[in-house]
Amino acid sequence: MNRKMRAALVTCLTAGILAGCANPPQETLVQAKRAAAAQADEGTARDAAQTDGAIAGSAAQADGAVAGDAAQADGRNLRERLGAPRTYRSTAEDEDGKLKIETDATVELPDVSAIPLVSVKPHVCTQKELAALTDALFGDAKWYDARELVTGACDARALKEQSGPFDFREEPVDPWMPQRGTVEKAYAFVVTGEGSSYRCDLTREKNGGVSVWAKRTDGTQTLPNAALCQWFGRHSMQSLYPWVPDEAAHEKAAGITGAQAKTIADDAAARLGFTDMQVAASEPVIEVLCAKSGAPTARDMGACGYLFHYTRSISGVPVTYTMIPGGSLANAGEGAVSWAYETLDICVGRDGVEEIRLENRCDITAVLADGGKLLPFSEIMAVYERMMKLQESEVFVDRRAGDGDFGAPPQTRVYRVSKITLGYARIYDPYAMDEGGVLVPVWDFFGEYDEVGADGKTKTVSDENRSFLTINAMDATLVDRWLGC
Amino acid sequence: MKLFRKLYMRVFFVMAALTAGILFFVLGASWRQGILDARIHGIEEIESREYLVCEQLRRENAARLGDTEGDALAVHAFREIFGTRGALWKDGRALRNDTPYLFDRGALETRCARNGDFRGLYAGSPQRVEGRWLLVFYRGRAAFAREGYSFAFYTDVTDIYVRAGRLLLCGVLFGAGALGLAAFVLYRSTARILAPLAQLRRAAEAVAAGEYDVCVPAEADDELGAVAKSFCTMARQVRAQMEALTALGEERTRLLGSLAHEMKTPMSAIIASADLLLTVRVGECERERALSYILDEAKRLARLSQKMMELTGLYVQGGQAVVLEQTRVSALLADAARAMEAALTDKGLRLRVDCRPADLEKRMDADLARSLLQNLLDNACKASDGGEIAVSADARGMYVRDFGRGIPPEELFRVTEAFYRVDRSRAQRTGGLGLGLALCAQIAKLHGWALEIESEPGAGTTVSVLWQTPGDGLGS
Repeated sequence: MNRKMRAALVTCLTAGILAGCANPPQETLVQAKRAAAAQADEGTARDAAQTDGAIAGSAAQADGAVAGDAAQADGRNLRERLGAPRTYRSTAEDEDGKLKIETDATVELPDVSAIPLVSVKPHVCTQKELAALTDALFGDAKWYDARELVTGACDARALKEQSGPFDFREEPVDPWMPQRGTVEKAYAFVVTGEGSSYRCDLTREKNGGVSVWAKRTDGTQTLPNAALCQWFGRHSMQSLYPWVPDEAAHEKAAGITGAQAKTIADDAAARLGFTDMQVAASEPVIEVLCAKSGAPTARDMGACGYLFHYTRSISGVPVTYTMIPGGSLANAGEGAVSWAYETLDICVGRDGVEEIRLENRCDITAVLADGGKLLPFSEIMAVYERMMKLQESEVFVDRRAGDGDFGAPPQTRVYRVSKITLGYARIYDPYAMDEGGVLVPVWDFFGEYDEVGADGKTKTVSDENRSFLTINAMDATLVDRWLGC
Repeated sequence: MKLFRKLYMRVFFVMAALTAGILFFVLGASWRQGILDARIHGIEEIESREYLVCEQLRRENAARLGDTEGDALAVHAFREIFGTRGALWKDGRALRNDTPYLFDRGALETRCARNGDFRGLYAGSPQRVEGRWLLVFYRGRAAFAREGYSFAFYTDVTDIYVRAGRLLLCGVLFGAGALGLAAFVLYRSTARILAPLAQLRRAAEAVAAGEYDVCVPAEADDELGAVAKSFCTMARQVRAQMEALTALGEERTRLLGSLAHEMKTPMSAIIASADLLLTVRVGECERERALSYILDEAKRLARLSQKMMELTGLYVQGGQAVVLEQTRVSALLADAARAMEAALTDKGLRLRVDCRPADLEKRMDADLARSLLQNLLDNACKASDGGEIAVSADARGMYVRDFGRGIPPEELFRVTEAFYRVDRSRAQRTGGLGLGLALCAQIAKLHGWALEIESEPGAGTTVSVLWQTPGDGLGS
């Protein structure tokens, strides 16, 4: 029986092992996007290499392809083909009468006949590029450890001097030790050859890009703790605080006109090598100290200036700028990767360049001349009016009983849309970041709104860079600019 | 101990197999139930979300809208309600997929057509994708107030697998611990239970070696305890049997020795007389005397042989020689008296026979009982010189009393020995062989009776054959 028991035991174990090793039937009903993207990359890598010659690594080639298409087209420009008027007027109201949308907007289209789709990927910044960037920014400057600046102190002479710009390596280290050598994030204080001083943060992003933020700390109107000050749009601040200067006072305080400031900003952008980017939006800004709690006062206002938002332009079609930075992963599932929009903001004031912010630089990997058909303007407007009502009606839902800190919903809102634009917006799949993103043509709607709050008080919220709605020009679906898809 | 190992391993193996079987069955059932619950919950979730989308589209009169506006509305509603867990198609064209996964719509459509329920909903088996387990649902015809839409929806059931794995680990650890404890307890219990077997073995070896006083303690009230008790009983019986056999052997040796001694005398006399006749010229008178001596001694040897045969037969056959029958005691006494009548008359002895009650009956071998009585009467006759001999019987036993010479007290305990004679010279004259009382004692023993001899020199002897109580000997 002992032998039989052993034989039975061996048989059971063998059967169990064989059953466990057996491959289950392959069902490929669902596949991870990341895995699918990797397989697609392997299969298309060779194709991509072959098409490099035809791909617009520079916009000029793309322009030529698109232009060629235009020459072969029916001769109509985009406005004519889409049936878009120069101005558009409409009024829409919800059934309750709480929401009213008054559209009296200029319709701005690029002067092209077609809008190609553009594939983009995050730019991986090399050390050489970083060095060139910091040279362009500060030239022969001295860099200091800015750890103490983070705590609020601002005395460069008390800080340890560094001998040059920071090097980035692959291996991350403690970001609070920005010793020259291996860093992931550098907190620095820079003193230029002309004697100007800047706070500068350099950050190596996970996708290989570099974010640069530099803010002048020794301007004539600079507040103490300048590094803790932020620039805010004058228009939006004016609607909130009465001490915000009007346009004339602002220009006087800035000591420079908008045109002059733009020239300085363009020059700075050119020095940085961003020749394919131009001002997409600009706004007068004021510098406000945000270190303390509570509402800011007039004493918290520092310099005045002009903020220029640069975006790139491909084939004559600009990337539409909005105030939304993107990269939000709210409600996204596990595995989603954040990717904010490409940003080049240059703030110019009395003393020149006050602040520069460069983030999420992109590389164009392909320009698809056959970008797809754009929907007629009328269809877009039909979607706009319907979705605008649908989307903004959420404001009137009382959420005070639920989770979160919600105030009482307003009584009414009246939207006044004054500008409709057609431009690029970058969309991407957060779960297939390896594929990069695509610049697609979208319609944006800008304006302001008047709101009667629950307390009966009326306020006007105006931000010329805030788009109420973004509609994909090819399929009329809404684009969530926060998420980027 | 092979038995211990065999028993222990089998029980442990069965316990382990049962534990593993129960564990995997329970885990499998738990997993299956979890998947089933997830599937049911998923279907309910789909239906509720689908209803919400349908309501939103219905409020916007989506059915009357154009394709662009209607699709935009449908995508917006789907995205808002299904979020990152659903993918939407229209007429096979992908409209929206905010999930981390790509779905094979063609395969899903095929499966839905084949295995879907009456509402066109397909609920698949769990799919493993990059370490996660997903339940994929597909609705081939979405009820969105507009035609042509289909969508896929998934539920992450990885936690069910993780939970099952955790339960399995806990179950395995607990089971291993419980089995270990059970193995220890089983080992100790089995060893304790089987310990008496070793004691039995040692005891059996001791008995085989001749130690009959050994006994195994029977502490447990079970089969092994019963075996131990039986073994002790067996050992006692063996000892008793061995002692009895030893005694019997000794007695036989003694008997043979006595026989040889008793035979020597008459044989010597016969040889002497024959030798005299052969070697010496004797007169007729001497010749007749010698021949008469030879004849008497030969007859004596014959009687000795007869008695020895009787006695030996009783010894050899033992209980087999006894045929018990219900016998009337008064008849027995009368037969014995009739057989001894001549001898009693020759010696001028009167025989008084008494049996009370007259119809007293006892189970006995009638022939052996008569032989016993005759031997007792013969001894009483030889011991008496006239007078009376009384033979009686009652419920207690049979009694033969004479008023003759009596037996000295110091010889009472030997009178039942084979060939023992109180007065050898007188016995020789009377032809006594010394076997009568030995024969009576053996007959009494075979019947389970007790033989008691009371005697007073010069006053007589009373021999009592007591029936004793039932259960003693074969006479019960």
